[in-house]
Amino acid sequence: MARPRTNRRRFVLVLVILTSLTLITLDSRNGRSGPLGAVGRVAHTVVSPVQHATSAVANPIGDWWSGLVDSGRLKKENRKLRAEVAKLRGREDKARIAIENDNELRRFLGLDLLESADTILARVVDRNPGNFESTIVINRGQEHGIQKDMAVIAPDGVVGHVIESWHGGAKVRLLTDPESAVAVRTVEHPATGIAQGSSHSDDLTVSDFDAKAIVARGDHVITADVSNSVFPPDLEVGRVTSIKPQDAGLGLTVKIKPAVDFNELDYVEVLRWVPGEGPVVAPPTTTTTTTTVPGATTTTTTTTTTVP
Amino acid sequence: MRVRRTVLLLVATVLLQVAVFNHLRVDGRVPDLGLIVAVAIAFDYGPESGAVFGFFAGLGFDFFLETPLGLSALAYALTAFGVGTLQGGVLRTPKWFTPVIGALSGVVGGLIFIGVGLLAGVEGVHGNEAFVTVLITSLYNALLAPFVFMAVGRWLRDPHDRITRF
Repeated sequence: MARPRTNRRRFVLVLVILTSLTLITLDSRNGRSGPLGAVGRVAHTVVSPVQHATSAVANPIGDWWSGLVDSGRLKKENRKLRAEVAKLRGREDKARIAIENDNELRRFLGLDLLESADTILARVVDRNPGNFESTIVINRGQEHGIQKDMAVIAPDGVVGHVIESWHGGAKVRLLTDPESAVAVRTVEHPATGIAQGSSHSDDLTVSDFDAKAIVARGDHVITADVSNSVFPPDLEVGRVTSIKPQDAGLGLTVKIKPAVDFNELDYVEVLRWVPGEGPVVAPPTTTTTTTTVPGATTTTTTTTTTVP
Repeated sequence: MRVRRTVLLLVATVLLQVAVFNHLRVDGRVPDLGLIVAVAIAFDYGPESGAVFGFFAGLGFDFFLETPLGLSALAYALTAFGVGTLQGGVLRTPKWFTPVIGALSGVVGGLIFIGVGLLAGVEGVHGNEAFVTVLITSLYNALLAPFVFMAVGRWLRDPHDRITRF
């Protein structure tokens, strides 16, 4: 009597292991582009409304809880931010002039202008559901023209890039994700490297800065102009927090604190920028309206730019 | 009827995991709800039932993760199967046993996830932080386990037949 039950138990175990290993192998080799990817996108589309609903309920509760627990810290932070706003207002005019000069020079040199790229505003509706990745889910997807590899920014700087989009949402890999890598350079004494994220760390690590590079704590780090990078150049990434020479003088390991606070993200902008091609400007659509009034015919042609 | 209830439990588990528990983090970590439910089923209905439920719960969760599809499915299924097999040799289970099972299954499932993840080239499972994550998640699982075991037991209870057929 016990033998068939033992055999059944073994059969179930072997079946589960083999199926899992097959799926892992297929997914690792082909990614989520085939039928498995389609099933995943359907799952996202189905769950999106639930995620939006729970987010709408959970976020105010979370904010209330944070406000209750951190009221002292929030008051202090509020005072600090007011002082910072006053200081930044003074710098705004100088920055505007610098941007205008920069744009003029870029036009003169025939370089892509980031300002000409459309952006799509999206709300963060969810965070990564797992423990070994750093991603967010936004509430706009394919229906707004959001595609894989589009860069995502916030007012403070780079957030990450789109890794998957479906109808009603998209998944964004944050800079701090272990699989994320972004080409960066320092502003003060230009040195170029690749900044990578790591598991459960808020910092980025650059481990390929040249040993002779002049990098100091507090240096600004921005995205580098590298061909086919998903990120346009000159976007704020963060500031250098520590510099450590590698063994045998091979190079410098530099830690960067991202400019964006990923835990406080509510809204982000998706840049319609295609790697290697530059900004995507939506094609203009032309509408012709003919109005006939007694004695005269008026034709109005309106050219509008719409997001497909 | 039992199968329908099990399928409903599966859908609810995946939805709770991806839409609710990612707002209820402890030190940035989420619990393995699918794993605890699979272990609870293995505890009550045997290792095969636990393994099958764990496989589908993990697979459902995998669709929302960036780690390879099937990784959570394998970790959940193997852990539930192991717990179900070991439980067969235990005659009486004291009350403190449920949180311990929750924590232990978190450790075992987490280590399987890390081990197979390393072989599959998953970046996120490298380094000591991955083990810290497993530890914190296991403690979170231990806190949830008594409630999950009770809920699963009540939801799937059937006075006539205690064996789930898949």
